[in-house]
Amino acid sequence: MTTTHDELPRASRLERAGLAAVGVRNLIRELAALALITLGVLVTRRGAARRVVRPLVYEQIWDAGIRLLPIITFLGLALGLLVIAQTTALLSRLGAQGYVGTIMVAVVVRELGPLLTAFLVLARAGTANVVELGTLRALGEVRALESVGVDPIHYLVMPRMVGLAVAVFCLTTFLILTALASGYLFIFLQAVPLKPGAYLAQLGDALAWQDFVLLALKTAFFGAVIGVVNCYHGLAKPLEIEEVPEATSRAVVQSVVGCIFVDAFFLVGYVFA
Amino acid sequence: MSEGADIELIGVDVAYEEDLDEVLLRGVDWRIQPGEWWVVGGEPGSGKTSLLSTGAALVPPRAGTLRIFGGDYWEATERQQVEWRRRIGMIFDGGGRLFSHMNLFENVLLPLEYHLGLEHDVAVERAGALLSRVGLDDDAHLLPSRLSQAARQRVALARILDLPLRMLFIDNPLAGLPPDDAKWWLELLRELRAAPGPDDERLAIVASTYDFGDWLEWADHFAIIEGESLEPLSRQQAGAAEPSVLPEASP
Repeated sequence: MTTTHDELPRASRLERAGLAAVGVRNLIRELAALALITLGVLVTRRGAARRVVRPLVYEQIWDAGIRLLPIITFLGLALGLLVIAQTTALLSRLGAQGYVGTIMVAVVVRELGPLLTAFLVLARAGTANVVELGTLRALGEVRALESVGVDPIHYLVMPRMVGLAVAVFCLTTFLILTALASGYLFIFLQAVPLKPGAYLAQLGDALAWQDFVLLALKTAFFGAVIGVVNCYHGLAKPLEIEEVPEATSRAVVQSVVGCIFVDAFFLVGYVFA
Repeated sequence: MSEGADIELIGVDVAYEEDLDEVLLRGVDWRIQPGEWWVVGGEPGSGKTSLLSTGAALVPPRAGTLRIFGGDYWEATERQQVEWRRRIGMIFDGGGRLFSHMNLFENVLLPLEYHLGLEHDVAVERAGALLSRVGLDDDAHLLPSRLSQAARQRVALARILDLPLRMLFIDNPLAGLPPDDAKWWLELLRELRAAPGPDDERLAIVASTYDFGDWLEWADHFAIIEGESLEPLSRQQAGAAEPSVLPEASP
């Protein structure tokens, strides 16, 4: 006799929910352990094998950062135009053009800019990392690295975590500047009565020093979360080559969830700041 | 306690590399002294690779203790483990598990630059010399996938030759090789063992095989995996052991 999901007895569903909760707890614990081990390696092996490891960090910054500049430019232009187009129409009706800068800071600088950049980096470089690492693991090459005395955390994980953190921070800064500039371009083209000096003054008034600190921390955390989750799914468990696509999908979903949780955490920071 | 042993397995349960819950050998007690040359035989799938990986401290034992150069490897600090790792080489079966995205030259260059911190020019020169030593300098810029398994296993040897090795584990290097190539390996291993290593200790070698026949005149200690245990053999017993069924040689 087959039993559908809806017909499952109550205890069985509770059991499943419990197992899922334990699974999530274990996953978080393992991700945190990988992050802490990587941080430990970053500190204790600082400067070790510099000739090999430093180019790997640069390579990651290139792949996850500089190569994304064209699409980030496009996204920044679009974001600035969209946000300003929506808000100026509304604010003009209310006679509240003085809040354009405030809205740009709240929406672009604090929220959408970092989050969109993180998702783009995840889509472009994060998935590539899971595939690359998963393939290395499936082919036994991670064990081969260890067999020649190369620490996989030092050689594979740490450069990705550092490179992605730097890349997300730099790209977010670039995206925000592009969006703020394109936003004013729209204001100019629509002949909204707002002079460049006034727009900059609004932005300046809306920004506080905490914005710069929290932006730097948040984007670095986004990069680190993407790096750790992707490295975990590529390396931490034995993989067959056929399982790499599934591991990639899991890594993407969990990275998105992780970034949103980090964002929520920083939202609390903004509220208290 | 084993005064002077390079590697010592004490009551070790050896697990499968990719599934530590699957125990292949139980209660292995094995001491490898400096300069010894061991050959371990066994059926395909009997656990030779896992035994070598466990001895080389690449896979943690399911139970028991692995002592390396006098210390408990899995209880040691990370710094100590890294230091020990540089002195233990492992060459895997099936093409040596070269890094598939790097060409042969880069494969050999990586450990030189990572461990020895050589200037790039010096490391490049050393990598060329190492590839030349294994007869593959003309193929330096090929990806591993373009080479036969036997050639790849030679490159795997080249990439660890300049490390300060005291222990070398080699998984099935002679499988499917023509006699000349097998002799090349055996002569090179004898040469490596004869050369003084770090601390003036001679290199200890552990190789696995399906057939003791090729090794009888070269190695000096033999053991066989039977069921879930590792049994030492005399040279005469090893000579009398039937070769295991060889798997199909792959290109």
